[in-house]
Order: sequence, then C-alpha cells, then structure tokens
Amino acid sequence: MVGDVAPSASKPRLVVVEDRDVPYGDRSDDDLMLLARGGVEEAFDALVRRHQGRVLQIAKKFLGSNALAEDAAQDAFVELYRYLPRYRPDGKLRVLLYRITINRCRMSARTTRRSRLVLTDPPERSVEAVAEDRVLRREKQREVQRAVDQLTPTLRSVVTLRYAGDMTQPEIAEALDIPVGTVKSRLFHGMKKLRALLEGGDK
Amino acid sequence: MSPRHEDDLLRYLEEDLSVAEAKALEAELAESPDLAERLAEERALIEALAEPDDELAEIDLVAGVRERLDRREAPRRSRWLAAAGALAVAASVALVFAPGEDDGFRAKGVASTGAEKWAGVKAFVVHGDATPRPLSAELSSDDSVVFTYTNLGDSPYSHLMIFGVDEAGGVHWYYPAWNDAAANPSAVQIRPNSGDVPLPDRVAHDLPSGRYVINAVFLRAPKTVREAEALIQYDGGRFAEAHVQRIEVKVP
Repeated sequence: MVGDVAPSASKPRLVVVEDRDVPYGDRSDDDLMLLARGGVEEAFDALVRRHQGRVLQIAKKFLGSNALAEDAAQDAFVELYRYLPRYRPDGKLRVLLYRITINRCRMSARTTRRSRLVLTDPPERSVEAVAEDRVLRREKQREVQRAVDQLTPTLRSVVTLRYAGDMTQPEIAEALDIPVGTVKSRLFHGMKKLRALLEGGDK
Repeated sequence: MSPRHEDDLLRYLEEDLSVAEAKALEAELAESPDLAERLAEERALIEALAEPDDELAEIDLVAGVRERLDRREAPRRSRWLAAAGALAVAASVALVFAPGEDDGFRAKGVASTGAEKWAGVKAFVVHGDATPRPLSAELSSDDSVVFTYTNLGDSPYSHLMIFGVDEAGGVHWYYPAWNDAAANPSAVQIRPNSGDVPLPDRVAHDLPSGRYVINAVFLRAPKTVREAEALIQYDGGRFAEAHVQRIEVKVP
C-alpha cells in the first residue's frame, strides 16, 4: 500500500544535503523528494508548485469539475508525501505522481457519483461579457468534457494521461502498470468513442 | 472514410506510422480534402483534450496540502480495539439476521446448515472520541462505524465482507478496506467464535443523504471487491453460498 514504510535495507540513501545557494525551484524532482524526506518542508512545497498545474488538469479532465479536481489533486500530493519514505530517486517522479493522481480520481469518481452532477461548474454567466471566440472555445471544451465524462474509467485514464498529462505511451504503460500495446488499444478505442459521442451529439 | 482511415489518422498524429505508411497517408491527404478535413478535426480534438483550463491556473494547492498533512494525524479509518471494552455496555443490541426474499441481496444455492442462524454483525457508531453506541435508524456522515461479528454453528463461515450501498447505488467499503483503485482486496478472514469479536477499524465515509443499506456478507470462500461489485451491479447482489445480513439506516 502506498504510504507503507519500506524495510530500511531497501531505502535509497539520502544523498542530497540542503544547499541554500540552490533555489528549490532549480532542483530536480529527485533532489526535492529526498530533501522533503529529510524534513525540509519547503522542498515538498516546491514540488507541489512545480506539478500542481498538470495534476489539476489531469484531475479536471477525469472528473469534469474544478472543485472535485482540486480535492483529488490535494489528495494526490498528500499520498505522494506518504510515499516519501520509500521513494527511489530514479527520475520518474512524474510517472509516480500521475499514477497516484489517476488512482485518486478513480476513487473520487466512485464516491462522488451523485455530487458530481451538482458540483459540475456553472455555465458562463454572460455571453455578452466575454469575447465570442473565448465563449466558443469554452463551449467546445465543455462539449469535449461531456464526452470524456462518458468514457469508462479505463479508457478515460489513458486518454487523460496522454493528452491532459502529456505523457508518452510508454510512460502511461508504466504509470498504469499495463503493456504499451494495451495503452495503444485503449487510446485508439477511447478516441474512437469520443469521436462517436461528439458526432452523435451529447447523449 | 473507412474506419481504417480514422485509426490511421490518429496513428499519424501519434507518430505511430512507419515512414512508408506516413508518406502514403500524406499523399492521400493531398488528394482528398475530406480526409484532410478529418485530420484537422482529429487534431482539434486532441488540442481540446490537451488545452489547459485557465481557471485552474489560479489555484495554489500548497496551503491545502499542508492542511491535509496536518490533519492526517486523525485518519478517517483508525484502530478502535482499545474501545472494544465499551461494547460490553452496548451489547444489548440484537443481532440482525438475514432478510427475506424481497430484500434484493440474498444468498443462493445453499442448503441451510444452521450457520446462517448464528452468523451476524453488530454495528456501532462512534462520534469523535465518544464511546461506541449501537447504530440506530440514522447514520450521520460524520460518524465512524465499527463492527463486531458472531460466527457460530456446526459449519461456520470463513470470510466476511461489509459494505454499504447508498440510494444512488454507490458502494462504500468497510471490510475489506478499499483505498486504492488499482488494488482488488479480498474478503477478510474470520474465525469461528462464540460472539462479538470486534473488527479492528473504525471507518467513516462521506455519504449522500437518503437510504443507506449496510450489507454484511458471510462467505465460505473469499471474493474480491470487484467480484462483489459485479454481483451487486449485475446479479442483484446474489452471493452464492453466503449469508447476507442487511442493516438499513437513513443518512440525514
């Protein structure tokens, strides 16, 4: 389970010391994780700031609501923090974090099936108040989001990680622990389904 | 356009075609405005999927994450065995046994062995640090729930699952714990006993208002949560060779 402490024999040695001359924003993900594990809270805050944008986009695309996305994204970072004791600095924090994010989204979708209908973000207040192209872009986004909402969680995970998460197919395979071929087929199946939904109207 | 072309367009955009295949498709695109339009639509769909939501850019998660990390000292699922002694006070609650045929969830394919007459759970609610009290007709979303079980008879059961089903059909797991969507935990093992064995966790779920039914399923072989949910969704919750107890409450 994520959050368990690995046997000490398997823990990577803490190799990073806090050097105040190097801003946290300039350090690698691995450095920040190791510093956070050593108790440097600012290092973890810097990680949150670095990755929160993409994590929020993934969560929004999966859950379809800003409120739910923010909640799931916060949970994902909390879970990442719990993972600190057994983190291996292999340069793949992004894969780990996005895997956690998708898991949190899937759990959130399980427990919020009712509230989701309520929490969906409100429509634009005034068409006149906003430039027309912006409104149209928003409307297109909403249309696409409604179609994404209708994908199964399995297909939605792959499509979301590929485009909202900007992950490669091999990275998705690693994050979801499935073969690349399965990623490929789910991506194609998901996109085909999206096309059909968008062409057939919002059913 | 044939379905093959639709896949090819995505493969092209994913740079998943061989050089020869890509060149062939590009030649076809140059000849076919329809196909070129489809490619533009496919590209637009991908751009829409990838387009960042501007409103999210204003959100800073740091403070919220810090707050949750501070709060995690008091997890929603926690051990409560220390409070088990208090159950002696609360033990006047009667066991609730299996419902009749009209209850939706029921066992099938098993002759009566007598064990089902003697297997059951008792549910208690815990609010804050207060002493557990028997679950009555109402369950607040703020309350944690704890359970004891009895497993008597000539042929006792080997495993137990406890879950609640809300009015919208949402399933909320107590035993086994299911906190990781990627996992698929199995029913917890139980042992024969003379009654009121406490299960270790106190569990709280964020529940929607309305009717809420807690189901305790005594099994002779373990099932996973996914198998159980499939049975709930597609087979009316009919668990083979099982004893199912239901406790219905209202969530205000």
